Amino acid sequence: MADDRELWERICRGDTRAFDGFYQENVSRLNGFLRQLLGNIQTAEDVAQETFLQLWRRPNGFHPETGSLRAYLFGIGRKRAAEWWRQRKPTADEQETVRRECKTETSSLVGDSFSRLGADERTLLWLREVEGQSYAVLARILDIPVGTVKSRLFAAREELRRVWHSSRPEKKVGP
Amino acid sequence: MNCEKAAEFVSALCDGEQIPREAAEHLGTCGECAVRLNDYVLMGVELKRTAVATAPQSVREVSWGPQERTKLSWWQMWGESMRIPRFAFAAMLISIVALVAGIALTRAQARELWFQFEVRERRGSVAEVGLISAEPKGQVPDPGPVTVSSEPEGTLTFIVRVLEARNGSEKLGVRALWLPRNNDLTDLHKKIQSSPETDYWIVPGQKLNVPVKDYGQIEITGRLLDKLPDDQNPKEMRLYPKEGEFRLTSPQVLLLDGRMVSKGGGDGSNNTKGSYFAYYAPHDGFYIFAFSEFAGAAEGSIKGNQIEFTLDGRIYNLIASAPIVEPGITKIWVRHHSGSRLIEDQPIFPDQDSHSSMMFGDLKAMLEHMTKE
Repeated sequence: MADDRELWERICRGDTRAFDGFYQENVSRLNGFLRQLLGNIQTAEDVAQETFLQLWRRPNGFHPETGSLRAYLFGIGRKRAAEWWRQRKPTADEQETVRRECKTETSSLVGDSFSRLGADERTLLWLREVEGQSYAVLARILDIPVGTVKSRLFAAREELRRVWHSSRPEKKVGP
Repeated sequence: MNCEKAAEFVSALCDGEQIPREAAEHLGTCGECAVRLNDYVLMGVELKRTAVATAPQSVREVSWGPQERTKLSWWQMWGESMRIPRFAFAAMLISIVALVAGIALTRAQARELWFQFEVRERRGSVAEVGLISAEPKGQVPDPGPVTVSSEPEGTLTFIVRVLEARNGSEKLGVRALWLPRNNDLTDLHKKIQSSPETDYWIVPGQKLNVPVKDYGQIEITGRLLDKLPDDQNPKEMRLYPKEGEFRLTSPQVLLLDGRMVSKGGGDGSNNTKGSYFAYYAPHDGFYIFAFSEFAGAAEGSIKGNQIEFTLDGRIYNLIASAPIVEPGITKIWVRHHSGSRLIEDQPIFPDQDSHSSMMFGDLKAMLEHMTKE
Protein backbone atom coordinates (compact mmCIF):
# COMPACT_ATOMS: atom_id res chain seq x y z
CA MET A 1 0.00 0.00 0.00
CA ALA A 2 2.87 2.31 0.88
CA ASP A 3 4.44 1.49 -2.50
CA ASP A 4 1.19 2.21 -4.25
CA ARG A 5 0.95 5.55 -2.47
CA GLU A 6 4.45 6.50 -3.50
CA LEU A 7 3.89 5.29 -7.04
CA TRP A 8 0.65 7.23 -7.25
CA GLU A 9 2.31 10.39 -6.04
CA ARG A 10 4.98 10.01 -8.70
CA ILE A 11 2.33 9.44 -11.36
CA CYS A 12 0.45 12.51 -10.20
CA ARG A 13 3.66 14.50 -10.49
CA GLY A 14 3.95 13.35 -14.11
CA ASP A 15 6.85 10.93 -13.59
CA THR A 16 6.92 9.17 -16.97
CA ARG A 17 9.37 6.46 -15.84
CA ALA A 18 7.18 5.53 -12.90
CA PHE A 19 4.11 5.31 -15.08
CA ASP A 20 5.87 3.33 -17.77
CA GLY A 21 6.96 0.81 -15.14
CA PHE A 22 3.37 0.53 -13.95
CA TYR A 23 2.24 0.07 -17.55
CA GLN A 24 4.76 -2.66 -18.33
CA GLU A 25 3.84 -4.54 -15.18
CA ASN A 26 0.09 -4.46 -15.69
CA VAL A 27 -0.76 -4.10 -19.36
CA SER A 28 -0.73 -7.84 -20.13
CA ARG A 29 -2.94 -8.63 -17.20
CA LEU A 30 -5.34 -5.87 -18.10
CA ASN A 31 -5.39 -7.06 -21.70
CA GLY A 32 -6.26 -10.55 -20.55
CA PHE A 33 -9.01 -9.27 -18.31
CA LEU A 34 -10.47 -7.00 -20.97
CA ARG A 35 -10.35 -9.75 -23.54
CA GLN A 36 -12.80 -11.67 -21.41
CA LEU A 37 -15.10 -8.69 -21.41
CA LEU A 38 -14.70 -7.57 -25.00
CA GLY A 39 -14.18 -10.77 -26.91
CA ASN A 40 -11.06 -10.15 -28.99
CA ILE A 41 -7.47 -9.21 -28.50
CA GLN A 42 -7.45 -6.11 -30.69
CA THR A 43 -10.36 -4.45 -28.98
CA ALA A 44 -9.04 -5.43 -25.56
CA GLU A 45 -5.67 -3.85 -26.34
CA ASP A 46 -7.35 -0.68 -27.60
CA VAL A 47 -9.46 -0.36 -24.48
CA ALA A 48 -6.49 -1.18 -22.26
CA GLN A 49 -4.57 1.59 -24.01
CA GLU A 50 -7.40 4.02 -23.38
CA THR A 51 -7.53 2.93 -19.76
CA PHE A 52 -3.85 3.66 -19.18
CA LEU A 53 -4.12 6.89 -21.11
CA GLN A 54 -7.02 8.03 -18.94
CA LEU A 55 -5.07 7.25 -15.79
CA TRP A 56 -2.05 9.15 -17.09
CA ARG A 57 -3.88 12.19 -18.37
CA ARG A 58 -6.29 12.54 -15.47
CA PRO A 59 -4.68 11.08 -12.39
CA ASN A 60 -7.45 11.53 -9.88
CA GLY A 61 -9.82 9.44 -7.82
CA PHE A 62 -7.37 6.88 -6.42
CA HIS A 63 -7.18 6.57 -2.63
CA PRO A 64 -4.41 4.21 -1.50
CA GLU A 65 -6.19 3.45 1.76
CA THR A 66 -9.15 1.90 -0.07
CA GLY A 67 -7.36 -0.56 -2.35
CA SER A 68 -4.43 -1.23 -4.64
CA LEU A 69 -3.54 0.80 -7.69
CA ARG A 70 -3.96 -2.30 -9.85
CA ALA A 71 -7.48 -2.79 -8.59
CA TYR A 72 -8.16 0.83 -9.38
CA LEU A 73 -6.78 0.30 -12.88
CA PHE A 74 -8.97 -2.74 -13.42
CA GLY A 75 -11.97 -0.80 -12.19
CA ILE A 76 -11.34 1.87 -14.81
CA GLY A 77 -10.80 -0.82 -17.42
CA ARG A 78 -14.10 -2.48 -16.57
CA LYS A 79 -15.93 0.84 -16.96
CA ARG A 80 -14.24 1.61 -20.25
CA ALA A 81 -15.20 -1.83 -21.51
CA ALA A 82 -18.80 -1.18 -20.49
CA GLU A 83 -18.66 2.16 -22.33
CA TRP A 84 -17.28 0.43 -25.38
CA TRP A 85 -20.21 -1.94 -25.36
CA ARG A 86 -22.67 0.91 -24.88
CA GLN A 87 -21.23 2.81 -27.83
CA ARG A 88 -21.25 -0.28 -30.00
CA LYS A 89 -24.82 -1.32 -29.06
CA PRO A 90 -24.03 -4.84 -30.26
CA THR A 91 -26.69 -7.00 -31.80
CA ALA A 92 -27.35 -10.57 -30.74
CA ASP A 93 -25.30 -11.74 -33.74
CA GLU A 94 -22.33 -9.67 -32.63
CA GLN A 95 -22.58 -11.09 -29.12
CA GLU A 96 -22.51 -14.54 -30.59
CA THR A 97 -19.52 -13.59 -32.71
CA VAL A 98 -17.72 -12.44 -29.60
CA ARG A 99 -18.48 -15.72 -27.91
CA ARG A 100 -17.22 -17.64 -30.91
CA GLU A 101 -14.05 -15.59 -30.97
CA CYS A 102 -13.55 -16.25 -27.26
CA LYS A 103 -14.13 -19.87 -27.88
CA THR A 104 -11.57 -19.88 -30.61
CA GLU A 105 -9.00 -18.11 -28.52
CA THR A 106 -9.37 -20.47 -25.62
CA SER A 107 -8.19 -23.98 -25.96
CA SER A 108 -9.97 -26.08 -23.39
CA LEU A 109 -13.41 -27.19 -22.40
CA VAL A 110 -13.27 -24.98 -19.35
CA GLY A 111 -12.15 -22.11 -21.54
CA ASP A 112 -14.96 -22.77 -23.98
CA SER A 113 -17.46 -22.94 -21.18
CA PHE A 114 -16.06 -19.77 -19.66
CA SER A 115 -16.62 -17.91 -22.92
CA ARG A 116 -20.27 -18.87 -22.81
CA LEU A 117 -20.88 -17.17 -19.48
CA GLY A 118 -22.33 -13.72 -19.14
CA ALA A 119 -20.00 -10.72 -19.02
CA ASP A 120 -20.54 -10.15 -15.28
CA GLU A 121 -19.75 -13.76 -14.47
CA ARG A 122 -16.67 -13.75 -16.70
CA THR A 123 -15.43 -10.51 -15.13
CA LEU A 124 -15.84 -11.79 -11.62
CA LEU A 125 -14.29 -15.16 -12.19
CA TRP A 126 -11.38 -13.74 -14.14
CA LEU A 127 -10.56 -11.15 -11.51
CA ARG A 128 -10.75 -13.77 -8.78
CA GLU A 129 -9.16 -16.79 -10.37
CA VAL A 130 -6.63 -15.21 -12.69
CA GLU A 131 -5.90 -11.91 -10.98
CA GLY A 132 -6.34 -13.27 -7.47
CA GLN A 133 -8.16 -10.21 -6.25
CA SER A 134 -9.64 -10.34 -2.77
CA TYR A 135 -13.33 -9.98 -2.04
CA ALA A 136 -12.78 -6.42 -0.81
CA VAL A 137 -10.96 -5.40 -3.99
CA LEU A 138 -13.55 -7.11 -6.15
CA ALA A 139 -16.24 -5.21 -4.32
CA ARG A 140 -14.41 -1.97 -5.08
CA ILE A 141 -13.78 -2.76 -8.73
CA LEU A 142 -17.33 -3.90 -9.36
CA ASP A 143 -19.08 -1.40 -7.08
CA ILE A 144 -20.95 -4.06 -5.16
CA PRO A 145 -20.97 -5.14 -1.48
CA VAL A 146 -18.53 -7.81 -0.31
CA GLY A 147 -21.39 -10.16 0.55
CA THR A 148 -22.65 -9.87 -2.99
CA VAL A 149 -19.18 -10.66 -4.30
CA LYS A 150 -19.19 -13.90 -2.34
CA SER A 151 -22.64 -15.00 -3.51
CA ARG A 152 -22.02 -13.97 -7.12
CA LEU A 153 -18.73 -15.84 -7.19
CA PHE A 154 -20.47 -18.96 -6.03
CA ALA A 155 -23.19 -18.48 -8.65
CA ALA A 156 -20.62 -17.88 -11.40
CA ARG A 157 -18.66 -21.00 -10.43
CA GLU A 158 -21.82 -23.05 -10.38
CA GLU A 159 -22.79 -21.74 -13.80
CA LEU A 160 -19.35 -22.42 -15.24
CA ARG A 161 -19.42 -25.88 -13.75
CA ARG A 162 -22.88 -26.52 -15.21
CA VAL A 163 -21.87 -25.36 -18.71
CA TRP A 164 -18.59 -27.24 -18.50
CA HIS A 165 -20.26 -30.48 -17.46
CA SER A 166 -23.03 -30.06 -19.99
CA SER A 167 -20.35 -30.01 -22.68
CA ARG A 168 -19.22 -33.40 -21.30
CA PRO A 169 -22.47 -35.32 -21.43
CA GLU A 170 -20.77 -38.50 -20.46
CA LYS A 171 -20.05 -37.11 -16.95
CA LYS A 172 -22.89 -36.93 -14.48
CA VAL A 173 -23.18 -33.80 -12.40
CA GLY A 174 -25.02 -33.64 -9.11
CA PRO A 175 -26.95 -36.26 -7.26
CA MET B 1 -25.73 -29.28 7.00
CA ASN B 2 -26.64 -30.62 3.56
CA CYS B 3 -24.91 -30.29 0.19
CA GLU B 4 -27.12 -27.46 -0.99
CA LYS B 5 -26.20 -25.35 2.02
CA ALA B 6 -22.58 -26.40 1.94
CA ALA B 7 -22.12 -25.54 -1.74
CA GLU B 8 -21.52 -21.85 -1.13
CA PHE B 9 -18.89 -22.69 1.50
CA VAL B 10 -17.08 -24.77 -1.10
CA SER B 11 -16.73 -21.63 -3.16
CA ALA B 12 -15.54 -19.68 -0.10
CA LEU B 13 -13.04 -22.42 0.73
CA CYS B 14 -11.57 -22.12 -2.76
CA ASP B 15 -10.97 -18.44 -2.09
CA GLY B 16 -9.14 -19.15 1.14
CA GLU B 17 -11.96 -17.91 3.33
CA GLN B 18 -12.79 -19.33 6.73
CA ILE B 19 -15.88 -21.49 6.81
CA PRO B 20 -18.08 -22.65 9.71
CA ARG B 21 -17.14 -25.82 11.56
CA GLU B 22 -20.39 -27.50 10.49
CA ALA B 23 -19.64 -26.88 6.83
CA ALA B 24 -16.06 -28.05 7.22
CA GLU B 25 -17.20 -31.28 8.84
CA HIS B 26 -19.72 -31.86 6.07
CA LEU B 27 -17.18 -31.27 3.34
CA GLY B 28 -14.85 -33.77 4.98
CA THR B 29 -17.36 -36.58 4.73
CA CYS B 30 -19.47 -35.71 1.65
CA GLY B 31 -18.33 -37.15 -1.67
CA GLU B 32 -20.52 -34.87 -3.77
CA CYS B 33 -19.11 -31.73 -2.10
CA ALA B 34 -15.62 -33.11 -2.59
CA VAL B 35 -16.32 -33.41 -6.33
CA ARG B 36 -17.61 -29.83 -6.41
CA LEU B 37 -14.49 -28.60 -4.61
CA ASN B 38 -12.32 -30.49 -7.05
CA ASP B 39 -14.21 -28.99 -10.01
CA TYR B 40 -13.84 -25.48 -8.67
CA VAL B 41 -10.11 -25.93 -8.22
CA LEU B 42 -9.76 -27.39 -11.70
CA MET B 43 -11.73 -24.53 -13.23
CA GLY B 44 -9.48 -21.99 -11.51
CA VAL B 45 -6.33 -23.70 -12.62
CA GLU B 46 -7.61 -24.03 -16.18
CA LEU B 47 -8.54 -20.33 -16.30
CA LYS B 48 -5.05 -19.37 -15.11
CA ARG B 49 -3.47 -21.61 -17.69
CA THR B 50 -5.67 -20.19 -20.44
CA ALA B 51 -4.76 -16.65 -19.38
CA VAL B 52 -1.06 -17.36 -19.73
CA ALA B 53 -1.47 -19.34 -22.95
CA THR B 54 -3.44 -16.64 -24.67
CA ALA B 55 -1.46 -13.66 -23.39
CA PRO B 56 0.28 -11.70 -26.18
CA GLN B 57 4.01 -12.13 -26.45
CA SER B 58 4.64 -8.43 -26.50
CA VAL B 59 2.92 -5.30 -25.46
CA ARG B 60 2.43 -2.09 -27.35
CA GLU B 61 5.17 0.44 -26.85
CA VAL B 62 3.78 3.69 -25.63
CA SER B 63 5.49 6.92 -24.71
CA TRP B 64 4.00 8.87 -21.85
CA GLY B 65 4.85 12.45 -22.62
CA PRO B 66 4.03 15.25 -20.20
CA GLN B 67 2.22 17.01 -23.02
CA GLU B 68 -0.43 14.35 -22.83
CA ARG B 69 -1.63 15.49 -19.49
CA THR B 70 -4.78 17.55 -19.17
CA LYS B 71 -6.91 18.64 -16.29
CA LEU B 72 -10.65 18.29 -16.32
CA SER B 73 -12.77 21.28 -15.58
CA TRP B 74 -15.86 20.65 -13.50
CA TRP B 75 -18.16 20.86 -16.49
CA GLN B 76 -16.05 18.42 -18.46
CA MET B 77 -16.51 15.93 -15.63
CA TRP B 78 -20.22 16.06 -16.42
CA GLY B 79 -19.51 14.20 -19.63
CA GLU B 80 -17.43 11.57 -17.92
CA SER B 81 -18.79 8.44 -16.33
CA MET B 82 -19.67 8.94 -12.70
CA ARG B 83 -20.57 6.74 -9.76
CA ILE B 84 -23.88 8.47 -9.04
CA PRO B 85 -26.74 9.11 -11.42
CA ARG B 86 -26.43 12.31 -13.39
CA PHE B 87 -29.72 13.68 -12.08
CA ALA B 88 -28.38 13.17 -8.54
CA PHE B 89 -25.23 15.03 -9.52
CA ALA B 90 -27.35 17.83 -10.97
CA ALA B 91 -29.44 17.95 -7.79
CA MET B 92 -26.25 18.12 -5.78
CA LEU B 93 -24.99 21.05 -7.86
CA ILE B 94 -28.29 22.86 -7.45
CA SER B 95 -28.16 22.25 -3.70
CA ILE B 96 -24.64 23.63 -3.51
CA VAL B 97 -25.67 26.73 -5.46
CA ALA B 98 -28.70 27.17 -3.20
CA LEU B 99 -26.55 26.77 -0.11
CA VAL B 100 -23.99 29.26 -1.35
CA ALA B 101 -26.75 31.71 -2.22
CA GLY B 102 -28.21 31.18 1.23
CA ILE B 103 -24.89 31.91 2.84
CA ALA B 104 -24.50 35.03 0.71
CA LEU B 105 -27.98 36.19 1.69
CA THR B 106 -27.29 35.51 5.33
CA ARG B 107 -24.12 37.51 5.11
CA ALA B 108 -25.92 40.36 3.41
CA GLN B 109 -28.59 40.34 6.07
CA ALA B 110 -26.10 40.19 8.88
CA ARG B 111 -23.91 43.05 7.70
CA GLU B 112 -24.84 45.20 10.73
CA LEU B 113 -27.30 45.07 13.55
CA TRP B 114 -28.50 48.11 15.42
CA PHE B 115 -29.72 48.35 18.96
CA GLN B 116 -32.50 50.88 19.34
CA PHE B 117 -33.11 51.64 22.98
CA GLU B 118 -35.42 53.76 25.04
CA VAL B 119 -34.68 55.16 28.48
CA ARG B 120 -37.55 56.10 30.76
CA GLU B 121 -37.09 58.22 33.83
CA ARG B 122 -38.72 57.34 37.14
CA ARG B 123 -41.92 59.20 36.25
CA GLY B 124 -42.30 56.97 33.20
CA SER B 125 -41.73 59.54 30.49
CA VAL B 126 -39.22 58.86 27.77
CA ALA B 127 -35.94 60.58 28.46
CA GLU B 128 -33.98 59.23 25.52
CA VAL B 129 -34.37 57.21 22.37
CA GLY B 130 -31.02 56.12 21.05
CA LEU B 131 -29.61 54.00 18.27
CA ILE B 132 -26.20 52.37 18.47
CA SER B 133 -24.39 49.50 16.83
CA ALA B 134 -25.56 46.23 18.36
CA GLU B 135 -22.32 44.44 17.49
CA PRO B 136 -19.46 46.74 18.39
CA LYS B 137 -16.15 45.64 16.94
CA GLY B 138 -12.93 46.21 18.81
CA GLN B 139 -12.63 49.19 21.09
CA VAL B 140 -16.02 50.73 21.83
CA PRO B 141 -15.70 54.44 21.13
CA ASP B 142 -16.10 57.04 23.83
CA PRO B 143 -19.70 57.83 24.60
CA GLY B 144 -21.40 60.50 22.59
CA PRO B 145 -23.41 63.41 23.90
CA VAL B 146 -24.71 63.25 27.41
CA THR B 147 -28.45 62.82 27.75
CA VAL B 148 -30.03 65.11 30.28
CA SER B 149 -33.47 64.97 31.77
CA SER B 150 -34.66 67.87 33.90
CA GLU B 151 -37.11 67.42 36.71
CA PRO B 152 -38.31 69.88 39.32
CA GLU B 153 -36.17 68.11 41.94
CA GLY B 154 -33.01 68.03 39.99
CA THR B 155 -31.27 66.85 36.83
CA LEU B 156 -30.68 63.32 35.65
CA THR B 157 -27.91 62.71 33.20
CA PHE B 158 -26.80 59.42 31.70
CA ILE B 159 -24.84 57.70 28.96
CA VAL B 160 -25.74 54.32 27.46
CA ARG B 161 -23.51 52.36 25.11
CA VAL B 162 -23.29 48.79 23.82
CA LEU B 163 -20.08 47.06 24.88
CA GLU B 164 -20.61 43.56 23.54
CA ALA B 165 -23.15 41.26 21.91
CA ARG B 166 -23.42 37.57 22.74
CA ASN B 167 -26.10 34.94 22.12
CA GLY B 168 -28.71 37.53 21.24
CA SER B 169 -28.11 39.64 24.33
CA GLU B 170 -26.49 43.05 24.52
CA LYS B 171 -24.03 44.08 27.17
CA LEU B 172 -24.68 47.69 28.03
CA GLY B 173 -22.39 50.10 29.79
CA VAL B 174 -24.48 52.61 31.74
CA ARG B 175 -23.34 55.75 33.51
CA ALA B 176 -26.09 57.64 35.34
CA LEU B 177 -25.84 60.62 37.66
CA TRP B 178 -28.51 62.41 39.62
CA LEU B 179 -27.83 66.00 40.63
CA PRO B 180 -30.46 67.44 42.97
CA ARG B 181 -31.73 70.98 42.36
CA ASN B 182 -29.30 73.83 42.97
CA ASN B 183 -26.31 71.62 42.21
CA ASP B 184 -23.64 73.03 40.00
CA LEU B 185 -24.43 71.89 36.46
CA THR B 186 -21.27 73.19 34.88
CA ASP B 187 -18.96 70.60 33.37
CA LEU B 188 -21.85 68.14 33.35
CA HIS B 189 -20.21 66.21 30.54
CA LYS B 190 -17.03 65.73 32.48
CA LYS B 191 -18.92 64.75 35.60
CA ILE B 192 -20.91 62.00 33.95
CA GLN B 193 -17.91 60.70 32.07
CA SER B 194 -15.90 60.43 35.23
CA SER B 195 -18.67 58.59 37.06
CA PRO B 196 -18.37 54.76 37.22
CA GLU B 197 -19.78 52.71 34.39
CA THR B 198 -21.82 49.65 35.32
CA ASP B 199 -22.32 46.69 32.97
CA TYR B 200 -25.72 45.12 32.40
CA TRP B 201 -26.89 42.36 30.07
CA ILE B 202 -30.17 43.08 28.37
CA VAL B 203 -32.26 40.81 26.18
CA PRO B 204 -33.85 42.84 23.38
CA GLY B 205 -37.55 43.15 24.07
CA GLN B 206 -37.17 42.89 27.83
CA LYS B 207 -36.94 45.64 30.45
CA LEU B 208 -33.83 46.49 32.36
CA ASN B 209 -34.02 48.54 35.57
CA VAL B 210 -30.88 50.46 36.41
CA PRO B 211 -30.57 51.92 39.90
CA VAL B 212 -29.34 55.51 40.14
CA LYS B 213 -27.99 56.74 43.46
CA ASP B 214 -30.34 59.11 45.31
CA TYR B 215 -32.77 59.01 42.39
CA GLY B 216 -34.44 55.65 42.11
CA GLN B 217 -34.13 53.78 38.86
CA ILE B 218 -34.33 54.29 35.16
CA GLU B 219 -35.85 51.74 32.82
CA ILE B 220 -34.12 50.68 29.62
CA THR B 221 -35.80 48.71 26.85
CA GLY B 222 -34.45 47.98 23.43
CA ARG B 223 -34.86 46.08 20.20
CA LEU B 224 -32.58 44.89 17.43
CA LEU B 225 -32.85 46.37 13.97
CA ASP B 226 -31.21 44.87 10.92
CA LYS B 227 -31.00 48.25 9.24
CA LEU B 228 -31.04 51.84 10.23
CA PRO B 229 -34.45 53.51 10.40
CA ASP B 230 -35.19 55.50 7.27
CA ASP B 231 -34.70 58.86 8.96
CA GLN B 232 -31.27 57.91 10.29
CA ASN B 233 -29.88 55.96 7.41
CA PRO B 234 -27.90 58.24 5.11
CA LYS B 235 -28.42 55.79 2.26
CA GLU B 236 -32.16 55.96 2.65
CA MET B 237 -32.46 59.60 3.58
CA ARG B 238 -35.48 61.07 1.89
CA LEU B 239 -35.53 64.48 0.33
CA TYR B 240 -38.68 65.31 2.28
CA PRO B 241 -39.68 64.04 5.74
CA LYS B 242 -42.50 61.54 6.09
CA GLU B 243 -46.08 62.67 5.91
CA GLY B 244 -47.19 64.27 9.19
CA GLU B 245 -43.64 64.88 10.41
CA PHE B 246 -41.21 67.76 10.36
CA ARG B 247 -37.47 67.38 10.33
CA LEU B 248 -34.62 69.74 11.12
CA THR B 249 -31.28 68.91 9.59
CA SER B 250 -28.17 70.70 10.76
CA PRO B 251 -26.57 73.05 10.26
CA GLN B 252 -29.19 75.77 10.38
CA VAL B 253 -28.64 79.43 9.78
CA LEU B 254 -30.72 82.27 11.22
CA LEU B 255 -30.84 85.46 9.18
CA LEU B 256 -32.16 88.83 10.34
CA ASP B 257 -32.83 91.26 7.54
CA GLY B 258 -30.54 89.23 5.35
CA ARG B 259 -27.64 89.12 7.79
CA MET B 260 -26.60 86.00 9.64
CA VAL B 261 -27.40 86.05 13.30
CA SER B 262 -26.23 82.57 14.21
CA LYS B 263 -25.44 79.18 12.72
CA GLY B 264 -25.27 75.62 13.96
CA GLY B 265 -28.32 74.16 15.66
CA GLY B 266 -29.06 70.48 15.75
CA ASP B 267 -30.96 67.57 14.24
CA GLY B 268 -34.33 66.13 15.11
CA SER B 269 -37.82 65.32 13.98
CA ASN B 270 -41.29 65.07 15.44
CA ASN B 271 -44.95 65.13 14.52
CA THR B 272 -46.30 68.30 13.00
CA LYS B 273 -49.39 67.97 15.17
CA GLY B 274 -48.89 69.08 18.78
CA SER B 275 -45.10 69.37 18.70
CA TYR B 276 -42.70 72.26 18.57
CA PHE B 277 -39.09 72.89 17.86
CA ALA B 278 -37.04 75.76 19.16
CA TYR B 279 -33.91 77.26 17.73
CA TYR B 280 -31.65 78.79 20.35
CA ALA B 281 -29.51 81.73 19.25
CA PRO B 282 -26.82 82.66 21.79
CA HIS B 283 -27.46 85.98 23.59
CA ASP B 284 -30.76 86.26 21.76
CA GLY B 285 -32.94 83.46 23.09
CA PHE B 286 -35.30 80.88 21.65
CA TYR B 287 -37.36 81.00 18.46
CA ILE B 288 -40.21 78.60 19.03
CA PHE B 289 -41.87 77.09 15.97
CA ALA B 290 -45.04 75.05 15.61
CA PHE B 291 -47.31 74.04 12.76
CA SER B 292 -50.40 75.21 14.50
CA GLU B 293 -51.28 78.56 16.02
CA PHE B 294 -50.31 79.05 19.68
CA ALA B 295 -50.38 81.86 22.18
CA GLY B 296 -48.15 84.82 21.32
CA ALA B 297 -47.00 83.35 17.98
CA ALA B 298 -46.83 85.13 14.63
CA GLU B 299 -47.62 83.45 11.37
CA GLY B 300 -44.77 82.78 9.04
CA SER B 301 -44.31 80.86 5.83
CA ILE B 302 -42.34 77.77 5.03
CA LYS B 303 -41.10 76.53 1.71
CA GLY B 304 -38.70 73.66 1.36
CA ASN B 305 -35.85 74.21 3.77
CA GLN B 306 -36.63 77.88 4.48
CA ILE B 307 -38.84 79.53 7.04
CA GLU B 308 -39.60 83.22 6.76
CA PHE B 309 -41.30 85.23 9.48
CA THR B 310 -41.58 88.79 10.67
CA LEU B 311 -41.25 89.94 14.30
CA ASP B 312 -41.34 93.55 15.38
CA GLY B 313 -41.23 94.58 11.74
CA ARG B 314 -38.01 92.76 11.01
CA ILE B 315 -37.71 89.88 8.59
CA TYR B 316 -36.17 86.63 9.77
CA ASN B 317 -35.14 83.55 7.81
CA LEU B 318 -34.28 80.19 9.28
CA ILE B 319 -32.59 78.01 6.70
CA ALA B 320 -32.00 74.29 7.25
CA SER B 321 -29.84 71.86 5.29
CA ALA B 322 -32.80 69.89 3.95
CA PRO B 323 -36.56 70.36 3.47
CA ILE B 324 -38.32 70.77 6.81
CA VAL B 325 -41.77 69.53 5.90
CA GLU B 326 -43.44 67.76 3.03
CA PRO B 327 -44.61 69.90 0.10
CA GLY B 328 -48.03 71.41 0.67
CA ILE B 329 -47.43 72.73 4.18
CA THR B 330 -46.83 76.43 3.83
CA LYS B 331 -47.76 77.94 7.18
CA ILE B 332 -45.81 77.97 10.43
CA TRP B 333 -46.11 79.91 13.66
CA VAL B 334 -43.22 81.38 15.56
CA ARG B 335 -42.66 83.11 18.86
CA HIS B 336 -39.51 84.57 20.36
CA HIS B 337 -38.52 83.84 23.95
CA SER B 338 -35.55 85.69 25.32
CA GLY B 339 -33.31 84.22 28.02
CA SER B 340 -31.14 81.19 28.27
CA ARG B 341 -33.83 78.78 29.51
CA LEU B 342 -36.99 77.88 27.69
CA ILE B 343 -38.59 75.80 30.39
CA GLU B 344 -38.23 75.68 34.13
CA ASP B 345 -35.27 73.81 35.54
CA GLN B 346 -33.65 73.60 32.15
CA PRO B 347 -29.94 73.16 32.71
CA ILE B 348 -27.61 75.76 31.32
CA PHE B 349 -24.56 74.37 29.64
CA PRO B 350 -21.24 76.17 29.76
CA ASP B 351 -21.05 76.48 26.00
CA GLN B 352 -24.60 77.75 25.64
CA ASP B 353 -23.47 81.30 25.08
CA SER B 354 -21.31 80.36 22.13
CA HIS B 355 -23.30 77.66 20.35
CA SER B 356 -26.75 77.58 18.87
CA SER B 357 -28.86 74.52 19.60
CA MET B 358 -32.23 72.96 18.90
CA MET B 359 -34.96 71.71 21.23
CA PHE B 360 -37.94 69.49 20.45
CA GLY B 361 -40.99 68.52 22.47
CA ASP B 362 -44.68 68.70 23.22
CA LEU B 363 -46.02 72.19 22.56
CA LYS B 364 -48.67 72.20 25.26
CA ALA B 365 -46.33 70.89 27.98
CA MET B 366 -43.67 73.35 26.97
CA LEU B 367 -46.08 76.30 27.15
CA GLU B 368 -47.20 75.19 30.59
CA HIS B 369 -43.66 75.04 31.91
CA MET B 370 -42.22 77.94 30.00
CA THR B 371 -40.06 80.16 32.14
CA LYS B 372 -41.26 83.64 32.96
CA GLU B 373 -37.94 85.17 32.06
